[in-house]
Amino acid sequence: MVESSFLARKTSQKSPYAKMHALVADEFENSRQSIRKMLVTLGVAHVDVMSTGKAVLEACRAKKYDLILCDFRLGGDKNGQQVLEELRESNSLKSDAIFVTISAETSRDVVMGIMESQPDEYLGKPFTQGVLEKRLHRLYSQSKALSKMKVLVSKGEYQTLVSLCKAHIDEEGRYSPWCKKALIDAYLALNRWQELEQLCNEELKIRDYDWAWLGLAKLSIAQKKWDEAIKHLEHVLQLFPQVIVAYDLLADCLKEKGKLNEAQDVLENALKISPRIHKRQRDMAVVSMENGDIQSALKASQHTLKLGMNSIHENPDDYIRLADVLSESVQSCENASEKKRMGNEALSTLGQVSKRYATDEKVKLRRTLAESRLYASQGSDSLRDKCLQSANKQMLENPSLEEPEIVLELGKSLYMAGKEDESQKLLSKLIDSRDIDPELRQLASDFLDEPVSTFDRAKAKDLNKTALESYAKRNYQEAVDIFKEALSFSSRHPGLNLNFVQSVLRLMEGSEKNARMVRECTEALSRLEHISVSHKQYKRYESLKNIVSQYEVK
Amino acid sequence: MSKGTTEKPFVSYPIFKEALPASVNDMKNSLSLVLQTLDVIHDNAADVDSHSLAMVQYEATRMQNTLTELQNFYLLEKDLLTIQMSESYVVDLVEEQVAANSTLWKTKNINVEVTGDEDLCAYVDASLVSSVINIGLVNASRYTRDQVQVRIEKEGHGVLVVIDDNGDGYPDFILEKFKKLLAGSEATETNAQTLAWCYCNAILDIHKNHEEKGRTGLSNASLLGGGRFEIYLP
Repeated sequence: MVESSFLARKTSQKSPYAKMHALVADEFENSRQSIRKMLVTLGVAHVDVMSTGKAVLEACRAKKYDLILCDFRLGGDKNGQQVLEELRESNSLKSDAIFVTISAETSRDVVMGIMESQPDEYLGKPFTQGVLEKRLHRLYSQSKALSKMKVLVSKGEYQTLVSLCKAHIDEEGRYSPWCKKALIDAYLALNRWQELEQLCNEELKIRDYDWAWLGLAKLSIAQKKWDEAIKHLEHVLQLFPQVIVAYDLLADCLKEKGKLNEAQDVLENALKISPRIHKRQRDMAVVSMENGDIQSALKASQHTLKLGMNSIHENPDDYIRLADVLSESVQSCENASEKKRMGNEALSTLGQVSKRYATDEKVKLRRTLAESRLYASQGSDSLRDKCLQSANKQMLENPSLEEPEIVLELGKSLYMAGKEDESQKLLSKLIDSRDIDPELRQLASDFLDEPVSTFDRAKAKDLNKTALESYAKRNYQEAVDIFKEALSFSSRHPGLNLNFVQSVLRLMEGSEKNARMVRECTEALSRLEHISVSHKQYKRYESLKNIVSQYEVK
Repeated sequence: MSKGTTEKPFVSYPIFKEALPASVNDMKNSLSLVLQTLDVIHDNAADVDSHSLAMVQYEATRMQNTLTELQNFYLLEKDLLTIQMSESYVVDLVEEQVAANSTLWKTKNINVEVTGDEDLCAYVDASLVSSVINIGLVNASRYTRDQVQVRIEKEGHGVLVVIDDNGDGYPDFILEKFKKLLAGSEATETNAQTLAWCYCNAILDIHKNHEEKGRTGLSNASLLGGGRFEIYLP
C-alpha cells in the first residue's frame, strides 16, 4: 500500500541527489535557469548549464555526469537527438548515467526521432517541479537498482547478466520488465536460442508484448529463417503499427529474400512514421536506386545528407551518392531547366564534400570521378575527360588511393565515358581479386551485368517480369518478344539474356530448326562473355550454351 | 494604398497542419507560465483571495487539458499521433499527475490520497494514459468538497484506476449522457465535457490486450460519497 506523501515531504531532508553532478542544456536562458532552479530545490548540488550541443559534448568528455537534462532544441548546429547519438557512439556517458531528453515538440517526426536515439527518459514540456521530482525519483531508483546490470551490458558480459536478470525476475523485482528485455538481447548474443524462445512464448501467453514478438523475430533472423521472421514482424506491425524497429528488420529480411520492391514499400511506411533517422533514409536511397525508382532515391539521398550534417553519421558516401543520383536524374529528365537545376545541385553537393573533407585525398579523388559521371550524363564530353585525366593523375601521384572502392567508381566513370573495354578489364580484375569485400564484389559484378542507367534498368526489370508471366503461361512467342524489348534497355544482363535464350529454345521445341533464332541465341550468349565461373548464373549459362551449340551444328 | 492593382487579400496562409500544433504548443506554454506565476503569488502574498486564485488556477489547468485533447484528437484523426507502448507502474503515472496538480490541491484545500497495489504494471502509452488520469483528477478537483482518493486495483487481467471524490456526485442527466456516449450515440451537444470524455475513450480504445480493450466509467459509487471516475487498463 502506498500513502502519497509528496505534499508533506520537506525539502530540508537530506537529498539523495546531494552528490549528483547534473547538466542542463537548453537553447533559452530562462528555460535553463528554471530547470536548474528546480534541480537545486530538489537537492542537486552541482548543476552545470549550457546552451549548445557542442558545449554538451565537450562537457561530457571532460566530466562524467550522473544526470543530463537536454532539450531537443539547442543553440548551434546540433539538436538533442544528434547530441545523444554522438555521446553513445563515443562512449562519453557513464553506463549508469541518466539522460533525459526534454522537448516541447509534439510532431511525431521529432518525437519518434528522439525516442529512437534511446534516452533513458523523454519529458514533455512544460512540466512542473512536482513532475520533475517524481520522474527523477523513479529514474534514480531504477538507475541504482540496475547499475550492475547496465555495466555488464556495456561490457558485453552476458553470461553474468543472465544470472543477475534471472535472479531479479525470480524475486519479482520492480525492474523485471527491463530484465526480460535484457535477457532477450543476452540470449541472442550467447546463441541460447531455446531459452530465448521459451521466454518469449511464456510472455506472449500473458499478453501481446511487442518486444516478445520482436524477440521471436530476431531469433528467426539469427537462424536465417527469413520467412518465419517476416511472419513474426508482420504480426508485430499488425498489432503495433508504430514499432519502428520492426519495419527496419522486415525490410532487411525482404532484401535477403530478394524482394526489393516490397522492402522499399516497408521502408516507405517506416519513413512516414519516423523520417529523421539517417540509416533509414540511407537504406531507402540504396534500395530505391536498385529498384530504379530515381525519384524516391533522390528524395531519400537528400534527406540522408541533411540528417548526416553536424551529426556522428556524416559521411562522404552520402554526398557522392546524392551526386550520382542527381546525375542519373539528369539523364532521365526531359525538362531542360530542371536538368540544369539538378546538374547545379550535383555540382554544389560535390563542392560541399571537398570543403568538408578538404585534406582527404581519397574524397578528392572520389569527387573528381563523380564529377566525370555528372558531365558524362550531361553530354559535356570535354569536361568529363578532363576530370578523368585529373583522376588518373591523382592516382599516379598517390598509388595508395587505388582501393577496391575507388576502382569500382573508376570503372563506372570509364564506362560512362565510353571506355567500355577498359572498364570491363578493370572491374573483372577487381572481381577476381581474392581479398575484396564480398559486398563490393557483388556491386562490381552487378554493374558489369547491367551498366545502364537506373531508368533503363527499371524498365528492363519490369519487362522481364511481364515476359516471365507469359513464359509461365507457355506463351513463348510473346515471352520472346517482350524479353527482346527488355534487352533493348539492358543488353548485358545475364538473367535476361538467359531467359531470352530459354524461351527461344522452347519455341523451337518440336518445330524445325530456325537459323535466325539460333543466331539470336548465339548473339545473346556472346553478350555474356563477361561472366566468370563464380557468377551465380554461370551454371545456367554453360548448360544453355551447350544446347545452343547442338542446334548450331544441326 | 497601392494604386490600381488588385491585391490578393491574403498572400499566404501558414499550412494549418503546421499552424495548429504550433499555436496549441504556444498556448500551452503560456498557460504553464501563468500557472507557475500563480504558484509564486500564492506562496508570497499573504492577503491574496485564495478562492479567486483557486478559480483562476482551475480554469487555466482545464484550458491546458482541453488544448492537449484538441491537439491529440487532431493528431489521432490525421493518423499522426505518437503511440509508444511500454510497461509502466500505474502508481508512478498516478503520483506524477497528482504532483503535476499540486498547487491546485493546495489552493483548494483538497486532500489527495493515493492507495492500492503499487506493484501493478500496465502496458500503455504512458504519456497518453497520463493525460486521461489528469483529466480525471482535474475533474475531481472541481466536484469534490475536500477529499480525493485514487485507488489502484487489479481487475481481471488488467488494472483499474478509481478516482473517488466526496462532493455531491454527478446529477442523473450527466450520468445518462455519459452512458449514451459510451454506447456510441452521437453527442447531441458538443461541449468541453463531452470532448474530454470522447478523448478519454479514444485513448483507451487504443489500449488492447488479446480481446480486451481499455475503457472509462463514470458513476456515483464513490467510497467517499461523491462521484467516481474510473479507468480500466487491459
